[in-house]
Amino acid sequence: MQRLPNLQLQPAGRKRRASQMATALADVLCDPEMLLSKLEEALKVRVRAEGRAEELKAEPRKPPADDMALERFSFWMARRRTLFGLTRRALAGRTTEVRSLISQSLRDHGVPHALAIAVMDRLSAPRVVLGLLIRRMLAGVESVHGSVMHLMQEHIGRLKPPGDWPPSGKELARQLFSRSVRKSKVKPEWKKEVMYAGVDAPEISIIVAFDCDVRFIDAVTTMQLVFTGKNIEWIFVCDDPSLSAQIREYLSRRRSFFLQRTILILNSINYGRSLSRAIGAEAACGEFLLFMNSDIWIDDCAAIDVALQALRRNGFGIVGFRLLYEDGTIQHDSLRTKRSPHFQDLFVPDHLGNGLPPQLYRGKLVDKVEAVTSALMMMRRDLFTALGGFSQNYMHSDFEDVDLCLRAVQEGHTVGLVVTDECRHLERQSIRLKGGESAGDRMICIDCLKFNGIWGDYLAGARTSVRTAIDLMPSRGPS
Amino acid sequence: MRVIVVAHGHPRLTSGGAESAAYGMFSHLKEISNGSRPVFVARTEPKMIGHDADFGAFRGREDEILVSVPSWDHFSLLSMDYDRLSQIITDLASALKPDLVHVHHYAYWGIEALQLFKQKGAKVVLTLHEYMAICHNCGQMLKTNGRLCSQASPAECAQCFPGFTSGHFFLRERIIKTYYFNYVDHFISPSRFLAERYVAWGIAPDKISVVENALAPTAIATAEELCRVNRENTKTEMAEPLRQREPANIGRRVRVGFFGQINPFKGVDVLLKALLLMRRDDRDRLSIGIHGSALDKQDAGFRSAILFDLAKLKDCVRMAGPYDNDRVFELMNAYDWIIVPSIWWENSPMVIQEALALGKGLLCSRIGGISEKAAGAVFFEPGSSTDLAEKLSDLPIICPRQQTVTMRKVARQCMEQVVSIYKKVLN
Repeated sequence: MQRLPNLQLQPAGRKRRASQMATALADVLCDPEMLLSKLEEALKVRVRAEGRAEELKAEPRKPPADDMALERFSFWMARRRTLFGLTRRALAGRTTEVRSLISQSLRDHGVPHALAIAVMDRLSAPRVVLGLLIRRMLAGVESVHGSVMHLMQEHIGRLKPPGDWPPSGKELARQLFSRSVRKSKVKPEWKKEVMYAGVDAPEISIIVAFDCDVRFIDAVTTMQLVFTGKNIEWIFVCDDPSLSAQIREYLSRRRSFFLQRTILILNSINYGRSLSRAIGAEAACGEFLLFMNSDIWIDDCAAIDVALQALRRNGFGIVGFRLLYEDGTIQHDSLRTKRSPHFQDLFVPDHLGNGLPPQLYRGKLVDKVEAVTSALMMMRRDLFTALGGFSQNYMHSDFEDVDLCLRAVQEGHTVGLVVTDECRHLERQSIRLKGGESAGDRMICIDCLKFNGIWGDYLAGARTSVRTAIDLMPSRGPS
Repeated sequence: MRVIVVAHGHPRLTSGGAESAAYGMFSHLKEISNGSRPVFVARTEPKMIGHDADFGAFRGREDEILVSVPSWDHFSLLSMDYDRLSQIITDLASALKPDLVHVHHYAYWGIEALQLFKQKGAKVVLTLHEYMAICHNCGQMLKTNGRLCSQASPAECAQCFPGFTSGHFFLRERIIKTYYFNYVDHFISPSRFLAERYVAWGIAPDKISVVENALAPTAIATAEELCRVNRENTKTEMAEPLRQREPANIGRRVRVGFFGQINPFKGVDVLLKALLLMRRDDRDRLSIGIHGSALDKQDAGFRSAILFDLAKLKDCVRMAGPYDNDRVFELMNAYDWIIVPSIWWENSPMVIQEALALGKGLLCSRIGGISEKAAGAVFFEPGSSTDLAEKLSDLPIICPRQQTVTMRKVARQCMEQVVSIYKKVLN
């Protein structure tokens, strides 16, 4: 779980942070190289397709006039300046202006009136749609133009029930994003290798996903010494094919070091953290799953024992841990969702006490909280399966854990936090090495839009029924 | 009691103070052992063994084993091939059956060697030669911008090495300190200064003892012989005591020698800068000899700066190049003063003991363990060319009479301490 700016604790940096976020979002739209390369790629595909069609001397099929108009419109949408201008206005809350511009463009491009109304309705939640476009562009799934066309046609073709047509913008957003809450249709491909067999029936399966910084593997493997004598298995999921050979080589030269069952899973492509964890869970044998980021360090496994007891006897569904930075201050002391003025008043997860000394925050050994980070999260394997695992909807890893916790709470489970000083989270260490946080910020913006598309109403309307950490534990907070 | 002394190199194959110290200790153990026959195990390059096996015997000596270990990661200090290292140490332990392993360095071996020796049932004693566990900058505790570092912290270390994050440094420290150093039964530090640094870092004070590195018996014998010859020459050829105004010394230059590796930490550049700052007539009084290797291994900037300064000082500085450790006393005897211009927190440079054994004058930077080792030396501020230039300008031909230290006595005391530590650990 990555940290969002804790604005309440750092009032002096609010404006600067908001400005950074706006700049980050603008960057993605202003990156001429990326956009041009995507557009060129799309055009090349089109040219090749047309060339092949000519070679086959097939009967040229003239697309319907409506489709042509829609395609022209989608090219307009895919322009860098258009996307930038629309998103800037949308983020500034100038939704009417966005609608007006889109409406004008639809008319200019000759889109029939009936179709224009449908498209307008499709774009009635412009922040959400624009966010999705940017996401697709960043993910490299397809070109922006292709995405626009796909969205339009998909919308027109699939969301046209006779009864409630046209659907409201909120309903559209809900349908759009609720689709991706379901599991991906793509069947992931991965290879499993048992590095050390160990015991057959481990109690806990620790799932560690590696995706960018291979150096943390030193610490993760050394932590087997922390768990000496425990009935556990380690599942290392390498989600970056460029690191696969390196990690495999490292582990295969360390087989005699392992004390516990150790499994290596090599994903064929980068599936993201959620799917990687799902793959790890599928390979796991333990009754309990402990999801661990590669940048976690545990000094003593007493905290894990406490979590195990909380899950077994105290009726908790999900248990997280207090995590400290390397300087001993709080990185994570549970999460709560709150509206952020820097995300257009959308709900974002807020880290309690982030960056403050842990002595300021008192609490029970295991506290009831609203949500916990997935950087170090423990739960029963069957509950994980029943909840459908982490949502694969998000690009970054700031929302998937809150999403899972909210779903667990909806199902009647309780989320707990083990208050300990033994666990460290060296978070965001690799982002700096990759060239700064702007890429992460962009993805957070998009994920934020998605999260609110799914949970916005629930959190806003049913807020009173979702007990927050503060509600539950009046003693939590600065002592 | 079967002891094996583990080093990261053989002093006859690689130059370095830690290797010499390890070999010196092994030689003394051989002298005082009652049939238990200690073994010296030195890591080396495969080509130095001469055949394909992982082990070999140095010059056919059965108690000096050379080992080719897999490469290591210079940052984490972990071996790159744990399984092979484990096999090598298993083979060593099963063949030698040590009761105690005295590790003089984990460099090149990988820090897991401490764990593996311990797992084989041997007690582990580790001599610390620099701050490698604390500092990634070659264990020098010297920031990459040239400033001295007094305490490491993950955030500050990441400033020195932007390619690593503070988290990496946090984990590095945790792994070394919490796990691998836990396999060590007792630590030995050759200087109080270094011991204090490690205690401040986290080693329990009762687990570390200060024991000086002992010169090898053959080295001590050579030094004593040279001292005897010097004394005889003094009696027959020169008036006692020597003075700068003696006729025999008029017109003779003050001879200053540097012995050690030529790298940015040893301060040769400070020495050359100081000479360039001096007035020409003061400089003409001096004859400087630089004995050392590794200049060719330094980065181009440092190398060219040294060569540039040397070209300007060719009238008084002679670059003598690498030297054989066996000849160090012979070479050193040709100088009046031995200079140690280090700019890092030196631990216990062997060159100081060697100079003291010959009764040479010492001109040292006041830093780290040097202050406590070089009693009676002329000190200057570390890294200060101006201060060193002043001290060099005033340097007499014959140093103020140094008290010739009986190194045999020092070595005996050191070994008594070491043996008592062994006994304590084994009991």
